Amino acid sequence: MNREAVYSCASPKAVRLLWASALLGGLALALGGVLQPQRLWPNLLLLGFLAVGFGLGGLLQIAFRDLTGARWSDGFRCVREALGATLPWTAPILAAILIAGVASYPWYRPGMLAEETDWFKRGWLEPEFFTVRAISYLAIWMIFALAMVRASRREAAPGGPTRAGVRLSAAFLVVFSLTFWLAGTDWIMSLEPHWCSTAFAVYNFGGILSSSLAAITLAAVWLQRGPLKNAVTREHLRDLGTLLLGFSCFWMYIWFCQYMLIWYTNVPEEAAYYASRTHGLWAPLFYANVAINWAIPFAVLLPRASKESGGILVKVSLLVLAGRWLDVYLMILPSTNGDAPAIGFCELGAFALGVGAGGLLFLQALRKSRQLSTRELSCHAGDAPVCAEAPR
Amino acid sequence: MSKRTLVAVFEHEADLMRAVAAVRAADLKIDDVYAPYAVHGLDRALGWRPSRLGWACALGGMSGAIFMLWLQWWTSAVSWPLNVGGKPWNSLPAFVPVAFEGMVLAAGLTTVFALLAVARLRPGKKTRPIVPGVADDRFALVLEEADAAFDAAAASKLLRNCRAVEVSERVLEDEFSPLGAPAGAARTRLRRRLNYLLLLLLAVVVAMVFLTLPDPSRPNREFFPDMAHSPAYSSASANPNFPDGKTLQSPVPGVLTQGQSPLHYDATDAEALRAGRELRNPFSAKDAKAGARGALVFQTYCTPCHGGGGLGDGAVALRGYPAPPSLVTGDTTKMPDGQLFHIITYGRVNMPAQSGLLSPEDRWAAILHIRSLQTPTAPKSIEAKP
Repeated sequence: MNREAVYSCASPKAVRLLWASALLGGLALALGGVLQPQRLWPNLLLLGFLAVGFGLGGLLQIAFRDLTGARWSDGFRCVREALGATLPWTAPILAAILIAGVASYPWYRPGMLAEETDWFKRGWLEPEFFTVRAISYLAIWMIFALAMVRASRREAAPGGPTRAGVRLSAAFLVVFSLTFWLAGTDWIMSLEPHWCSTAFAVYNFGGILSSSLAAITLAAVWLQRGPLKNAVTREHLRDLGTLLLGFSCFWMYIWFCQYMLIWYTNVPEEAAYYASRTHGLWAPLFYANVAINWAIPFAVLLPRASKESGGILVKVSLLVLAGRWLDVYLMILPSTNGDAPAIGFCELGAFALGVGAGGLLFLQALRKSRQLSTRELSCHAGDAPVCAEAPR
Repeated sequence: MSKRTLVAVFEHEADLMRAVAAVRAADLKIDDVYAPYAVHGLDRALGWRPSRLGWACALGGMSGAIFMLWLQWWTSAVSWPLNVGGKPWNSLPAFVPVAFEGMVLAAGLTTVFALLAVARLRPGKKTRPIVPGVADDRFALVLEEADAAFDAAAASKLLRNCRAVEVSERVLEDEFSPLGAPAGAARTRLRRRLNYLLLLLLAVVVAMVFLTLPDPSRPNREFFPDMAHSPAYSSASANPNFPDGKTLQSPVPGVLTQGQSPLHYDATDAEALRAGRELRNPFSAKDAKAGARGALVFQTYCTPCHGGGGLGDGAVALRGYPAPPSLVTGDTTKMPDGQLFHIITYGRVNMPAQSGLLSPEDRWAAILHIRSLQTPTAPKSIEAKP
């Protein structure tokens, strides 16, 4: 088996479908931009933020593995590498979207932050400063993505992380937690400049963790049916299912932390965020978000049998991925297009473009994985659970 | 009840897995497997039915969550409704954290206790590892020699082929404590005696409850008064330490209390005249503050008999009590301040002494007001003031 294995494993039909989805999505988005121009930019922001989130999720998984030394998932480490390798492609796109859309932020209008108490926000949300910061965060993440994926791919097949790799991962976690906190505040929270929540960064962190785990699970099940047949065992699937269950609960926990504090204190400028989302036609989506991201995955993944079943894991992962889209949709769209949710050319187009282009990008990155060389696969062809452990 | 077993010890997880597969293929009965950690896939290799501990965990968790939700609903919406921040009494979001913690606690405890019950473990139970090292780096496989057809030699050979480092025959005494010998009979007797002793102690404690049953007609026995009774004498009680037998002693003659100004006059008319000669009003007529105070004092303490204008037409006098002489005409206008002060202090004819009610300053201030009433231009009454 060679490096082409993965690409050939994705049947030509599937690749054609991804292309079709990307092209049709792009067309629909362009059409939506003409018909409903006010909904174009929010959907582009949604798409870019989601895509960068998956790249960061891949990098987080690499960092967690390097720092904990948990090598159980090395059998399919090409998946997290490929996720991380998409970041250098998606980050410039998000930067372009942000720079093009600075004027779409409500604080861009003069007088929005006129109150005396808003002096810090006024200074912080200067358009030039905002742009410089956005480019800095994305550039830092890109540099880390290039370096970490490179270090991960260069690791000797059965060996642990290199010393440099561990240092890089530790540095990434520190830099990531600071920059991601600020980035979420800048790009999403400032859509409602008078609202603030200190749990927002953790909430988004929970979101990218559970969704990137869903993406990894999806890819692992798919690769198990293809070139990594022996590397991905039932135990791996169960561990992935357990992690997905756990981080789904983590997301719910943080979601509730943010919701309950705002519900309890009932301060007008804080409660306005939830007031607009729990009224009118937003309400069904608001409650569906909780069901899709937590209640259903939790109920389905609780029994052990479903954590070991590839079919069920695929369905739950797809659900969580859709849930991540809905989650970010509910963060952005009520702020920018207040009255009622609408699913039109923009939404469907952005979604289809994301699925198609994201899938192709992921496959392209997966192709470059060193792991799929013959040597390593032959190692995993033996006694699978033993081989996944360190050599005795 | 005892059973004969064959115990094989392995050094590697993979060897154990291989041995389990081989033993099952040879149709031998596996009694139990011991490993220092949870071996992936072992339960499936053994072919045992999945553990039902998960159900205990789920049921415990659900019971905990439901009980906590009910408890919060009952306490905050039914039994003692309390307004917290204007929220509805029955506020689900506020109940979630406690219900969540209750669920985690109940799920965890239920799982642990279910595990102890299933493994028949209890505090004080003596167990010994079936072979040294199964809690560390060894794996043990126990085969049951179910009947005479069991060929121990063949089984040993099979296990050694799977790289068993040690195979031995063992007789396990107690079905329920395969890890150690049953407790000795002497120890059982000792435990029983201890239990009887504890039962007796319990009975004594319960009997004490009846000793302390309250009789409403009598004060209860006090075992722990908690300093409810002060050892000091109360002021009205008898006291053997003083010659007069009283606790509350009168002050030594001639002692002044703080802030007291002595007045060296007796309560006679002659002394009043002397006071008139000797005493001077400390306030001047121009002192507006003292004047206002005097008006207030006069209105409060003098008006009922003397009337608002000092004419002797107060409400008390109008209802038949002998009327006082007018303050604004006749003798009073000729009395010096000191004499008026003496009269206010000690009283005169029908007028009671006011020294207990009015401080010396207030008496002087009231005199100031009487003087102002006597001047024709002065306001006759403070009632005209707001």
